[in-house]
Amino acid sequence: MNTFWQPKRLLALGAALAFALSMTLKLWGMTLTSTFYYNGLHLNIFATKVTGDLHELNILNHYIGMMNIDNSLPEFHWIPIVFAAVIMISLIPAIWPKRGILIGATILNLLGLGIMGGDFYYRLYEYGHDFAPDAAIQVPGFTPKIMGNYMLANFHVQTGFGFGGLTIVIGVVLLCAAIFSKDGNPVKKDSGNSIVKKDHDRVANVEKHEDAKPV
Amino acid sequence: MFERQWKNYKGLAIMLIIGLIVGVAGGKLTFDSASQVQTNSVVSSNEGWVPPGQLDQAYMFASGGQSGNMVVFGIPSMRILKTIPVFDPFPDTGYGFTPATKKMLGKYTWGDAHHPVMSQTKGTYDGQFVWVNDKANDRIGQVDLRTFTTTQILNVPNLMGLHSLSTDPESKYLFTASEFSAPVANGKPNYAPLNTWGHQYYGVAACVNTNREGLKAGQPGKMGLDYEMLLPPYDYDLASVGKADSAGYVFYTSYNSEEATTDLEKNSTKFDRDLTLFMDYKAAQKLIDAGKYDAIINGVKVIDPRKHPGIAWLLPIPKNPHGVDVSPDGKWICYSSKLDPVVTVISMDKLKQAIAHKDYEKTTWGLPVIKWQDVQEAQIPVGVGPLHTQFDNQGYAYTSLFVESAVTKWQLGTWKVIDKQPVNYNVGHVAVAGGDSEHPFGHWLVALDKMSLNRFLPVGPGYPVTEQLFDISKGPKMQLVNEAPSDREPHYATIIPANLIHPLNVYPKDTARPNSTWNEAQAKVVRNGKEVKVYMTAVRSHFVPDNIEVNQGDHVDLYLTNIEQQPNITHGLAISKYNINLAADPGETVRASFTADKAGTFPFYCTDFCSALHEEMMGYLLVKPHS
Repeated sequence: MNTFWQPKRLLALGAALAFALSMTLKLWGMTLTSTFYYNGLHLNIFATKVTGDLHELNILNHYIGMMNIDNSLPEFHWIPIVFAAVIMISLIPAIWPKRGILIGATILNLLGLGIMGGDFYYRLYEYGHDFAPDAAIQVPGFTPKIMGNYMLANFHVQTGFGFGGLTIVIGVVLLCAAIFSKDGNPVKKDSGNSIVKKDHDRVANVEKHEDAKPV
Repeated sequence: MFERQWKNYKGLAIMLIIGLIVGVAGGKLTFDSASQVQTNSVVSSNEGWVPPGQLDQAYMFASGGQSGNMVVFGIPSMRILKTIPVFDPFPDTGYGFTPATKKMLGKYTWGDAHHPVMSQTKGTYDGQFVWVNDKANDRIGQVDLRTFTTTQILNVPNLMGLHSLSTDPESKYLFTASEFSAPVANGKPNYAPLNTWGHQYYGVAACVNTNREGLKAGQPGKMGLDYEMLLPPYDYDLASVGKADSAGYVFYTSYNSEEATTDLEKNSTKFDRDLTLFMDYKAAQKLIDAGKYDAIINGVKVIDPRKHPGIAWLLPIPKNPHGVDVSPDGKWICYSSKLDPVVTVISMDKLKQAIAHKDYEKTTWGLPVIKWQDVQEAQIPVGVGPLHTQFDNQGYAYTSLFVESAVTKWQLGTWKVIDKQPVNYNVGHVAVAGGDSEHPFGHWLVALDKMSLNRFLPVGPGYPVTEQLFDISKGPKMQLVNEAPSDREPHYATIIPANLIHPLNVYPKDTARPNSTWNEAQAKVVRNGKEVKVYMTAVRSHFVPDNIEVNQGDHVDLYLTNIEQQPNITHGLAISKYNINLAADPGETVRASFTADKAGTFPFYCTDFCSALHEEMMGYLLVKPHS
């Protein structure tokens, strides 16, 4: 270990990696289960695509006039660019591990992630409200819950974040941790900690020996 | 006086009283046991019960007889899972309403399906295809078990009454023969007076190549006739292709060695033994490969075995034999004789020796006749009216007894009868899971009974037939565990464990498929003079296009693609008063081809209850009259 690999650098690098993982993992998902669809109909949102039983979901959704869910959404073009930017921004403090840069990077990233989250929520709202006026079944508008279990007509709906959502949170936490971590030589710090640990162990051992004495 | 008389008659009176008591008790006893046989019912077993939502352990593919189809049963529930139309139109699946299926069916509106044959690889059922014969119109149907649909019907010329069907352990070939001998004529009607029987009438055996390798799911089959062989003018009943020790041979049974042409009931039952035929098909194939066939008749290469020694032999078997079944190890050829209460077992070893030594009894119809005394291994006294035998995986054989209404279990090698159970009634074939292959699965036996007298609620003077399921895995006794009626009439069935069948659940989306349309935006009507092509999509709950206008006299080709990919969502298309009835399973493209000769307004609609708005899934075909 040398002074180059200090915690700020490592944590910022870790954040960049976490964000990079988020680009490939499922961010959010929905499962609709009913008597006939006993294995559930799945909808999986990624940064770059939407997958799952889209054909079947769209066939069912057309009865209420919902817009088609498919990969032609403009989000799948610009969200990867925002994600790439978030990853690059996280790499800057990994190169220049200054607290000021870290704070700036964190704020920028939160802004980028916020835009994505806001857009996601807007789309949920839009898909649940902007129905074709000539649809066979007229339903009042609804916004799917971001996380939860609920009934929607004859479907049991389950929504929640995927691993991609988790790695975003991890990235943000790592960036914040980097801001608050102290400068200095991590090797020194480590050895100090280990001395304390050894002392503690020794004390414990002594206690154990005392316990072992026959009464 | 009276005292003296009483003394004289006392003994007689006592004997009379005792006789009366014994008689009544005995009669009661006999009556009870008789009624026990008749009621033959399950008391404690619930093995045949498959609870709702649970799946069966095995499939049974039963021929439909004069219904011309194949019926799929679940075992052990005996529930009917599906009817697969083969030789008859079947509105349920739109079979016989599309140009492709109409062409397969040809000019016939029915068939007589008897013997379903499961495809095998290395002597084990592989669950890929089932082939079935049509005795009435001399055809062989191929059913693809990925789609459970008929993918080919092969017409077999030159033979009449195509009854038997059997395959080799690799299912490269199917062998069959004519049940009814008839004149064979090239390119002209096969008329000949019956008194020319000995000269102009022939039995005919056929070898069909399955050509099944590489066929995609649902793809039209490529069966072809390799060759045919002229046979003596007897009535060829069943066939069994050899395996293991008897590989390369086909054994046929035949009745009417008497060569009767009238009142066969009396005239074909005179001889104690009928001459059955067996052939060396590898030797026959060599002749064909070398171009040494004797004629081409109606496009088929034909061998006359009288000109090629070492291809076919005759083997005397007791009175009017029906079934012939080769044991799993191929060592024993088991013949069931309708009019002799035994199964006659021929040793393949001894048969090979007899052939090698050319030690024949005589020559009949130019073919050597084997000395049956030299090759007969055993005769098993199974009971009255034996018809067919199947085998399990424990070395036992099961023979159906038509006259006695029973199934007899006996042991190969020891030739001992182990058990006999009554059936209700008059069993034809028995089917054991894998029971005609080198590697039977055992466990289940179904008796395909011809009569069902009072086994089910009465349904008028016409009765269904009975399929009775026995568990043969629990010790020496066969246990009846379930039964079900079915339409007339399954002759034979083939049973296979469920895990060996891998059907599609939808037809995969294939945009390269000719005439398919997968996008509603691309659905259209294309007119070219009087030829109108409609490229239509179906999805819940609408057709695109749903308003079609043509001119009276136009020829319409309608290609309907069901663009669903959700299993179980089939759409139909019926056009009122145009006799059009299509059914498209998810991902399937089907075609209707018709001339719009009737002017008027004709609604069309979905026939398969697909969704809540199924009734709304309709449209109009407008046929504009000539001005």
